[in-house]
Amino acid sequence: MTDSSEGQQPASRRREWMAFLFLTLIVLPALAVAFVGGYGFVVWMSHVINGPPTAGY
Amino acid sequence: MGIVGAAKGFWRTLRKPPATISLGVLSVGGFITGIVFWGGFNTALEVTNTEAFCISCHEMRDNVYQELQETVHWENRTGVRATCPDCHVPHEWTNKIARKMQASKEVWGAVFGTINTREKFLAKREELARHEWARLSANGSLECRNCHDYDSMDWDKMSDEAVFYMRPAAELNTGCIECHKGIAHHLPERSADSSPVVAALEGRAATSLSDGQDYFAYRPVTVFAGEDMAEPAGQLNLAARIEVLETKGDKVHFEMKAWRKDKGYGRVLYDDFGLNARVAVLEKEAAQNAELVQAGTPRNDDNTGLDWSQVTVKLWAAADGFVADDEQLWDVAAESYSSSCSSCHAQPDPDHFSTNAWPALFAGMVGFTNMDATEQELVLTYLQNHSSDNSESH
Ligand code: HEC
Ligand code: HEC
Ligand code: HEC
Ligand code: HEC
Repeated sequence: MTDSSEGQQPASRRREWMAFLFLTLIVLPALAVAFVGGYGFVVWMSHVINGPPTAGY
Repeated sequence: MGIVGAAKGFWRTLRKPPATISLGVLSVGGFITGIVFWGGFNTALEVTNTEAFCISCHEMRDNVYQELQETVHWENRTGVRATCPDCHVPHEWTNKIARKMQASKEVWGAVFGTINTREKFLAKREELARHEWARLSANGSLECRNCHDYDSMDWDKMSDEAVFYMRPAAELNTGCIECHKGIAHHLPERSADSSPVVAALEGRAATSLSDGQDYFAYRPVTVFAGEDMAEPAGQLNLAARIEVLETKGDKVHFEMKAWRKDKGYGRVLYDDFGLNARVAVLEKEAAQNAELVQAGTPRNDDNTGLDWSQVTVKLWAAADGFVADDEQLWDVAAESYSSSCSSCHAQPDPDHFSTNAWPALFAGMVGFTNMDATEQELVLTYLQNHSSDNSESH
């Protein structure tokens, strides 16, 4: 039992680091960009349907 | 291990508390990557908001950028430069992001070469310009007014012309683009055959003409003396009324009743006695040819002291330039009139002025609109035909 868990230690350490880096460097940034882009896209489509914004004056 | 296996392994690792990385390392690592990401995101947003980025594609560099360099917004005595994003990208965050997403269409266009030659660009220019006009007139020219402001204008320092037009505009808070189109680039050029009013009328053209019926020109129509249609004899104006004598294939022999001033060669034909509403302009030879143009007895116009004669003209033309009902023309003209002439003031009723007063009034105003030559002629003809001289109530 102890043997095998000690044998797994470097493998799980590697796995956790890979998961952490993959999540923070790739998945979450991609999601953030996708959300902002998706929001922009929805607003764009609303402009296409309702006409350009009448903000300001 | 395939993609699915890897994803499952990844998910399993994420769901368990970490056994080997400390909470501190994870928090600090997440915090720092968050900062780096947000910085990078904004930097990317800013880089795509520079002129250098806008002109990195040759479509912009070779066309609009060159034209901008001839204008006041490129070089002026105050040394303030307006760059592409100053005028074209909203400053407010939500609309800016929406505009950036919209640029995906422009990236698509750049990749597939939608406007990769000068010709293609010029052909699309009108459509592109209309998008910007619609945007700037909807938001009251917000982007111009990030730099310019009516309240900060010193009227005493402006030209008289500017004060005459802009003082009322400032009171109404009119957007700048209503009057200052083409401020940064050349205006789209339009040829007569691409005119939107002609396009709108084309669908209503009479497909075949019947003898003895009246028809109306819906575009400038070249007329000829003989059936061979070799020598042009002049041109019919929009809305000129003809009566068909006979048709031969795609040609029509017609008769037109009009008036002319007994002065000079009598080349210009008018709709009615004493009214300066043109219906046709003839070549000198044709106007003098008594076989083509038969004149009645002259009548004197007290207002001008000129003699006018009624004329009957018999000429040939191609048969495809006519509509059967002049209401078709007035529909299109009325729509164009109300959309072009109502941005600064309510458009005056056509019967508020006389047929002879309209041309000068119209000429003084039409420069503020984006009407092409054919559209101008159509709208002026509409106004003259519905003026105080023609309306039933007067
Ligand atoms: C980045 C700021 C900025 C923006 C945005 C901007 N302008 Fe200007 N504009 C200027 C400056 C600076 C001048 C020159 C002032 C001077 O004469 O020194 C100028 C001059 C002008 C003039 C005078 C032209 C002449 O011949 O004297 C007009 C008209 C004008 N702008 C209209 C507009 C319109 C319309 C827009 C929006 C489409 C716009 N401007 C957007 C800064 C700006
Ligand atoms: C009702 C039409 C109209 C509107 C609306 C309008 N202008 Fe003008 N403007 C003119 C005319 C006409 C002139 C004088 C001819 C010219 O310079 O093009 C002029 C001139 C100017 C000038 C040069 C003034 C001078 O004599 O040195 C500036 C700057 C200017 N406009 C800016 C603006 C800005 C900014 C707006 C929007 C806030 C605006 N205009 C809205 C019609 C208008
Ligand atoms: C002073 C404001 C101003 C600046 C600066 C400016 N534009 Fe424009 N742009 C306009 C306006 C207003 C229109 C709408 C058409 C018109 O009135 O000429 C337009 C139209 C366009 C069009 C549509 C096609 C056309 O010619 O009408 C393109 C493309 C364009 N601009 C690109 C650019 C690029 C690229 C730059 C920077 C090199 C730039 N613009 C700088 C105000 C500006
Ligand atoms: C850019 C703004 C603008 C546009 C567009 C415009 N006008 Fe005007 N118009 C004015 C101004 C400013 C006056 C002068 C108002 C005043 O003197 O009180 C005026 C006055 C007039 C008058 C009254 C003249 C008189 O002596 O009573 C007529 C008629 C007129 N416009 C017709 C038109 C027609 C037709 C069009 C469309 C081709 C048009 N306008 C488009 C700004 C505009």
